[in-house]
Amino acid sequence: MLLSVRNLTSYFFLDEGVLKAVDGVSFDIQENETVALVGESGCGKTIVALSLINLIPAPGRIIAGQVLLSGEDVVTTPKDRLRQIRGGEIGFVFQEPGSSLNPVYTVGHQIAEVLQTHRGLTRKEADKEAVRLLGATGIPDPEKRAKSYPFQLSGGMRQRAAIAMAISTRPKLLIADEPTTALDVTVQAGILDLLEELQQQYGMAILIISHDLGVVAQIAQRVLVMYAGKLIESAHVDALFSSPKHPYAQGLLDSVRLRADRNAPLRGIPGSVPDLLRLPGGCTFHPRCSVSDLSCRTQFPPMLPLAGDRSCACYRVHQ
Amino acid sequence: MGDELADRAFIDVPGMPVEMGPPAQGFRTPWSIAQRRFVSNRLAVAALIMIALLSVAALLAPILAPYDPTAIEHVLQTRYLPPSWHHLFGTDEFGRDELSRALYGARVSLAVGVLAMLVAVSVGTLYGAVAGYAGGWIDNLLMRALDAFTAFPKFFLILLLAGVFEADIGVLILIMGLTSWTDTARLIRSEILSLKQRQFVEAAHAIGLPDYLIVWRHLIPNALSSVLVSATLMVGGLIGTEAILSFLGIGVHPPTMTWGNMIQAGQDALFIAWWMAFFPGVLLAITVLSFNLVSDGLRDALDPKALTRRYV
Amino acid sequence: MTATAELLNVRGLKTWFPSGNRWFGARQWIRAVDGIDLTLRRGEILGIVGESGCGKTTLGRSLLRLVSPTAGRISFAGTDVLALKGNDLRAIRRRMQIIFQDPYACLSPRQQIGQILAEPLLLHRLFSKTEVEARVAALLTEVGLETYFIHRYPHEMSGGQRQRVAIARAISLEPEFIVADEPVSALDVSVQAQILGLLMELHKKRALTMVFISHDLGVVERVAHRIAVMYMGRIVETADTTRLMSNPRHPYTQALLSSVPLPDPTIRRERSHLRGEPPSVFGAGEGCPFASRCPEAQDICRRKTPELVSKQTGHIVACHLR
Repeated sequence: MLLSVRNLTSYFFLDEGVLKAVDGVSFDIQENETVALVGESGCGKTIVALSLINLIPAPGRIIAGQVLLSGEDVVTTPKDRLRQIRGGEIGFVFQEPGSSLNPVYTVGHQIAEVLQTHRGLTRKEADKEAVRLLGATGIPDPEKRAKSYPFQLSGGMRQRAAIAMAISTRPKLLIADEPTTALDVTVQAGILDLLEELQQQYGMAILIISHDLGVVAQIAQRVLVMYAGKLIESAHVDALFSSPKHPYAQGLLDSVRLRADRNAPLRGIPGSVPDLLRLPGGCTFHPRCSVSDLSCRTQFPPMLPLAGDRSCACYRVHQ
Repeated sequence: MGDELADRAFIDVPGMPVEMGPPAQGFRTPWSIAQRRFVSNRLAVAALIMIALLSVAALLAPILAPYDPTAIEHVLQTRYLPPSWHHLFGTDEFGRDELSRALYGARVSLAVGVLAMLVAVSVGTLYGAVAGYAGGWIDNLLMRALDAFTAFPKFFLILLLAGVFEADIGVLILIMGLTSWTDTARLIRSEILSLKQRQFVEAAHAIGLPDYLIVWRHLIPNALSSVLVSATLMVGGLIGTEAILSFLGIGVHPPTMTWGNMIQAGQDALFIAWWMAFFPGVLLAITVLSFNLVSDGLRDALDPKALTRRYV
Repeated sequence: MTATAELLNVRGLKTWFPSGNRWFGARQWIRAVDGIDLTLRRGEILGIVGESGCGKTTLGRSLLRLVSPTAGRISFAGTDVLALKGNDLRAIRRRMQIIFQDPYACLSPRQQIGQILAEPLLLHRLFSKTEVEARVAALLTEVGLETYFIHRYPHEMSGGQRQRVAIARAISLEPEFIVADEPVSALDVSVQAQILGLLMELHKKRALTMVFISHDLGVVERVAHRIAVMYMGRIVETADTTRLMSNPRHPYTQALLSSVPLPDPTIRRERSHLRGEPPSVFGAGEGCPFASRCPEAQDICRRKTPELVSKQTGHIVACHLR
């Protein structure tokens, strides 16, 4: 098992109270697998991603759980080793295209810097490899582009450069946090294709975080659905899309399938995402759930397995 | 990742859009949210209290002053007395009680600072708002004029004007105000320029709201927080400026006392009567510092991100 | 199309923004909207799709004169909108309204919801101060919000709730025509469906005519009767929704449709690969604006700007090769 997350809990300690961003999330990622973490705003998916490399901004921090990368716990490793892991074994691509790129250095220089630090290459070797990587991510004319500054590149190209930087160290796991959300749809297609290609080429696992179910359907093998800081369903992508079990997952998929019938009512999920500082008791989804009953208000349902290598956190489903 | 709780400053949780439900009771209006934040900044609150105390003391000077600050009698016995229970701040070269003088001096120093600030802020806000909202060649013209004006070394301008016009306090306030408005103007202009682009301003256009109402009802209230911050900071600076001017003999002339001219009087007697310069100096420093701290506190409290707190 | 059924008629609309240095060299223009013709019937919803930089947002604002068009004619119910001034312009604003994209930015942070909604009503003197509160309460109910929101501030509401307020504001003046500029793009998916449902309901109830701008084809497909595809300030294809979706003719439209990831893992579309990115907004000048990225571009495409030609009833395409 490449990545094993057990009971990950990250809270933010604010004036107003404790914000339970991630509350007891557990999942696994195998080598070479593409897993998608799906949820709407405020579900905690970005914080999960940041927790995996222990990079949550203050006043937040991981207060419980383990993140086992090939057996090594990222949560407790000392700073030095953590620095090696970040950018080394685990690559990270952020939402804003190129936000991981420093605006005052050329793109080639930055990638070379990573190569020198993590792979111990000499300056010359690193520069050459940087150009090769830029080309591998589909940037035309990579020699010239390597000498460009981030602001001289378009959004899509910046994202490709950021991906090049992230994979330069041959990470075993690439975490991509909404990598295409800020890009146009025609550019997005290219980035998704690129990620699939790179995965095959380098044999790495990908954890892609997204709110876009279309993207998830196209690229993921397994899907994890989050709501208000908790994981509520986990399944293979085909299974999830053909028969979602959790009422929230069902509602989500219904919302997206707008095209079905012009005369059918547009169905969303009534209400809105709860304030993470004031979560309802019991199952966090119950106020918006059409099938909830009294038992749903007492305690959050445990994530229990179902047939077909999937699991779901809902009392209704397991009855 | 420290162990600290409750960071006052707002966190920017990465990648998370805002989704908020109704907050706790009593913190609803933008101003009350700002109030709450300000109050949690202890240093700023202390500074505000200090300013309040000084202002009250200045106001009540006639009641609080133990002696008549202008009374000159038995000079030879009472001159240059060091601080004691009878004269907490000592006496000056004429035997006048320094504490009483400091209290009356506070009136002038504070009043000049605040009034000059009001002049500067009014002129600056109007100028900046017109330039920012009008845009185009009007903005260009106004800003170039502003640049030209700024090119004059402010201090020499004040010296010049103070020399030309007999510096009675009213004139002094005007002079100080009219040479200090440029920063405010620039600030307001840039605030308005950025606010102009905001969608709620476009929305106001869309419903047909006339320009002057857009500026008055939508732009200025939203720019007000910057003005407030800049204004409080300015008071500190102006109080200092007045002190310097009076020290140089160009500002307020004796017998009217301000901290500035008290320090000047104390300069001559520095080695025999250190208290003459010391106490006004300390008061001056504390006052300016307090205004600066309040300004900082306001800036933190009024941070526009305070309204859009990022949830995870 | 009879005269009374036609509500909006746009001819040759151009909105260019000056850029670059005015003192030296030729003035450069950003051709945000570069020659658009549109017609809308009453009650119709026209979807406008395109990616960033195609000018759809500027088009929406130009229709309402929130930016000043550089050339062209906009005829609304027979009136020449671009010629209006002062009070006449204000009067026509009552009939044409806009819903913005960002629910977090379109409401003034320092006004309560009640004040925000009362503002247009009081401005146009439709109600007195005593009557307006009742009207505001009715508006809130119509968009699905509880009346206690009157005293709330925008920052106390969720994105979906704020967008409902924005919609309430847009319909408060009882307009005939609404431009919806990416009205749900900033919202969560489950909330999107709610808001779209609300818009559709209002469209039916109030017989609204709408221009629905979006980059999200899935959304537009669901709500629009006709769709126009924009690229670099021009319309490259227009057709009835079903026809456009099933039989797109322009290479760009084809690429766009094939790029949209479907929420169905069993369908893996062959994604058409476009070279490069949506270009800078300076405008192509001569030649087809899409030529630089089109996988089928020929010589003629670079030399001559294609005209919009009618291929079938209601299906218009601007391409030399189609």
